[in-house]
Amino acid sequence: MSCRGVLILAGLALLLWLDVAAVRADPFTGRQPESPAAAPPVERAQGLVAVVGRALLTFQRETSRMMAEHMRAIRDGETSAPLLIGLLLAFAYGVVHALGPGHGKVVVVSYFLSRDAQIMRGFLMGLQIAIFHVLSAAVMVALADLVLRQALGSAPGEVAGVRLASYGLIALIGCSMLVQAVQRSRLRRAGITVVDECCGHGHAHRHGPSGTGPGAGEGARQGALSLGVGLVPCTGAVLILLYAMANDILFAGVVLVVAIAAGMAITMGALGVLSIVARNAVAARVDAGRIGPGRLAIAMDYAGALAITALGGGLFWATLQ
Amino acid sequence: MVSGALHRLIRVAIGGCGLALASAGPAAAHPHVWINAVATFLFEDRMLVSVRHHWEFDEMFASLVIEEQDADGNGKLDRAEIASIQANAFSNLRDYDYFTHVRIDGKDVPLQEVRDFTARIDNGVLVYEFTMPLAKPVDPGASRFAAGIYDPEYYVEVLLDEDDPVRFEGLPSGACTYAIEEDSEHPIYYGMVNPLTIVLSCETS
Repeated sequence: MSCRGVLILAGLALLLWLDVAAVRADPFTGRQPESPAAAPPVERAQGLVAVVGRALLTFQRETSRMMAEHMRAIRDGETSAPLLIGLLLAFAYGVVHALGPGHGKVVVVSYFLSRDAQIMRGFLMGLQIAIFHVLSAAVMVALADLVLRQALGSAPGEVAGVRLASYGLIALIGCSMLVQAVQRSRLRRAGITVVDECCGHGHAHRHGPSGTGPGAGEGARQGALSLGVGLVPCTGAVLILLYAMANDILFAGVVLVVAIAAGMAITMGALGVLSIVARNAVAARVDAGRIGPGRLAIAMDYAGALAITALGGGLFWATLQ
Repeated sequence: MVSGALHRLIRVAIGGCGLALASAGPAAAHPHVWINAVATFLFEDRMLVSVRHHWEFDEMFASLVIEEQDADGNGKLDRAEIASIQANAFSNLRDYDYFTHVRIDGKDVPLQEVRDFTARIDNGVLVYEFTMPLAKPVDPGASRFAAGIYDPEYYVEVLLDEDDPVRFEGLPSGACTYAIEEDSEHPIYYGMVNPLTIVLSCETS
């Protein structure tokens, strides 16, 4: 998690604590309300996960509500302050929103744990996913006529279609990673050192029998994986764009949605970078230890490829049901 | 200015959004729509016969429904507009039991089809009201009656009204009280969230 994320979490935890600490008493008598109409207090789970989860959900609810408020102000003719505040809200919303389930965090982690990659790659993938995620929302709104007309009659088949395409693409790339893993482990067994495939150092490497290119091929794979993950549109972005269009402030909607993408890119990118750092740390230990680095690399190759294939395939299957 | 074609497109998109209530799968499972809810429990002869819902929607979702459904744009909903809302931005919730999960002594008890649906715009807030009868009257004094109001897929987050979430009708005052509890038996959102459930406690009749 990014530094910013930790700060936000700490802030939210504080807010929540303050909220709990603020006892609701009658301001005139100082007594607790007694009227039977008053809602009784709710016993809430106090575990860390429950508390943080609730705080994140509250944060999203409040930022969403405030965004709507500021968009209304923009519609009513105020522009500079509401737009600026809305921008910050949208950015924070994006950061927190990407922490929730979905958005392909498992894919990102699996991908980067399974291969050597430069730190920048991690951030780039976060950015790619966020852009695709929000772009697909924009495309969906723009093509609403095509996509959602189906939805008016019966089940929104087209929307399920998008999800199928997303999961299918993820599964396919997982398969291609599996093929790559097989090739690499064969090469290793044949005694050929496999050099860092991802980064294109500019000097000649020996490559597998199929002769897959290094940097470009890996970059394309990463891009396709990001597309697969980001293909499912961000519902929050869809709603904001529709709300903006309904209020004739499309420009403000687009600006907010870009800010959401930037926020999500921070979270996803941080996750990618974290995975790369984690792999490097493990690899450094293993180099000094007893297990050969080759073996570990092969195991991680397979594990990452399998995880991504299983996730994509599993979601594809579940969506088909 | 928005051109005619664009307007039509927006309308279709917004209409679809009403159905998006029902269409969001796990991939879109964060709450994106919020409801402030008040539940009224209706009694006849000390027996609970139905639940009446009062739902207020968040502004963003409300404005999408209003933009699409308030055909004459006068900020009020007439009978035809209400019928259209029911058909296009409500009936789909049947697949989700209208977010109403009644359990008697821990057992799921399906409710009857919705009655008396109405919608209105109250100071810009979109309000739905509807009644769900029980299949047969229940004495909450004789069994544990619990009603959770939540979307199992968590696309919609139902928030029980902070001040006055539960009311009783057809009873002498004080005959029934309620508690709001976390339902850890039916977690939602990948097991991360325990939905709230309203538990009634009544004098036995």
